Amino acid sequence: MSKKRIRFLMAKPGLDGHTRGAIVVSMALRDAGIEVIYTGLHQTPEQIVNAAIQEDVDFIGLSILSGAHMTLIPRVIQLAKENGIGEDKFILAGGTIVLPEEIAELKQAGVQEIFGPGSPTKKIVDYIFSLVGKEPES
Amino acid sequence: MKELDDLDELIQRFLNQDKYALARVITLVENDPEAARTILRNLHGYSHGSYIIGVTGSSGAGKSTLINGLAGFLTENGYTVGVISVDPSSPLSGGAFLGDRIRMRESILNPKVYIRSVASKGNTGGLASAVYDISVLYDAFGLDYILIETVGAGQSETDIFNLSYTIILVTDPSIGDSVQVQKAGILEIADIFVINKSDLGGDFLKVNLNMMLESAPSINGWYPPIIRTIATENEGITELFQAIQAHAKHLEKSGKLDEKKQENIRHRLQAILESSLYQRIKDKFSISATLEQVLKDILSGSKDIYSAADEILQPIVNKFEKIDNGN
Repeated sequence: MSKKRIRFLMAKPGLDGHTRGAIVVSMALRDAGIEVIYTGLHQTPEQIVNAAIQEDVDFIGLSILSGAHMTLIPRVIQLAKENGIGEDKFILAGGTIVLPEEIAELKQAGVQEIFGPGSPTKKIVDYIFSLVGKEPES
Repeated sequence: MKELDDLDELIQRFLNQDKYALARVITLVENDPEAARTILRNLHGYSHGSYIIGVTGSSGAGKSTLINGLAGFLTENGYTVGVISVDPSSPLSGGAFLGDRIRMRESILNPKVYIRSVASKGNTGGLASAVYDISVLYDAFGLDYILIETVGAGQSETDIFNLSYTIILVTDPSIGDSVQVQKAGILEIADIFVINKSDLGGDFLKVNLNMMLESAPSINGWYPPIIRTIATENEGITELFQAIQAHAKHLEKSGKLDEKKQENIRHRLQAILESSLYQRIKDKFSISATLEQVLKDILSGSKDIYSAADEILQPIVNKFEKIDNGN
C-alpha cells in the first residue's frame, strides 16, 4: 500500500477558538500531499476519537492553545486506547504552550511529538513523513 | 504503527458490526487492489439493500448541513446512515483538505451515523470506483441509507450520480440568475430540488425553477418537487424525507430501481474490465517503452496521434491474428 496517502485528523479539542494555526498547518500538510480531515472547533474527546476511527487516519493532530491540554490530550489518548485504536495512530499536539515537565508527561501518556507555536511547517511535514517512512510531495 | 491486519479477522469483525473494522476495510479497498478483491469476494453475499442518495450543489449551498439534518432525522426514525463526503484533491500535490465534518457536529456522535471523507484523487482506482466500493461496503455493513455528498463537476461526479437512486440538488437564494442552474446540466439529472437558506429568500428562485421544470420533459412520469429548507434549523427535513420516499416508491413501481442497479453494475464492470485489460496489456507488451518513442515522433510532427496509437497497438493486433490463425 505504498501509494496510500497519509490521512491526518486535525482536531480542535475543548473551548479553544484559535483556528489559524490549525488551518495554516493543514494547508501545509495538504500541499505536501496529505489528506487532512478537519474537525472544526469545540470537539469533545469522544467526537475526536469517533472521527479518528471512522476516517481511519494515520495521525491524530490535537491543536490546542487554551491551556487545557493536560486534561484534554490524555483524555483523547485514553479514549483512543479504550476504542482499540491506541496502537494504530500517532498522536501529535500543536499550538500547545507546555511547560518542560508537561512535555515529559504528555509523551509518557502517548503523545509522539509536540509542536509549539512558531514551529516551522516544513519541520512538521518532514517529521510526519519520517514517521511513516515516506517522502513528501515536492 | 501496527502492521496490517489479518484479513480474515478483519472481515469477521466487520460482520460483527465493528466500526473500526469498517474503517480499515474501506482504507484497504481504496488502496490495495489485492486486498480489495479478497474483501469484496468475502462480503459478497451480505447485501442489505441500502438506499443510495446523491446530494450535490455548489459550495456553500448547505449540502453538509442538510445531510447532517437528514441523517439525524433518519436515525430518529430508526434508520442507520452512511455518509460519503467527497472533496477535491489538490491538483498539484494530491493532498486534500476535507472539511465537511465541520457541519456535521450532531452526526459525529450519533452511533447510527457513519461518516467517511473521501478525496477525489485519493484512491488507486479513481473516484467513481472508490465511492462505488464504499457504498458496497456500507451496504454489506447493513446501513439503511447512504448519503453521498459531492460538488458535482466533471466526469467522475457524473458516475457518482449514476450510482445514486435519488439525486438531490441543493441551491440557495444567492444563486440569483436561475440560468446558472440550467447551465450546469443538472436539471436533467436532479430528482429533488432543495432551496436551502429559505430564511434569506428563495421565492423568485422557486418560481424560476418551476418554470424551467415545466418546460423540461419529465423522466418517466416523475415531476421533481422543490423543497424549501433551512438546514441550520432542521426546517423542511420532514418534507425532504417525504419527497425521497415518494421518489423511491416511484422508482420501484416503474421498475426504474432495478434498471438503475443494473446500469450501475454494467458501468462499474466495464470500467474495471477496461482498466484491468489495459494494465495487463501495458505490462505484457511494454507499451510504455513504445509510447516514449512514439511521443517524439508526434512532437516532431512526423506522425499524427491516431496513427501513433495504431502503431503502439500493432504488436497486440499481430498477436491476436496469430492466435486466430491457430499459432
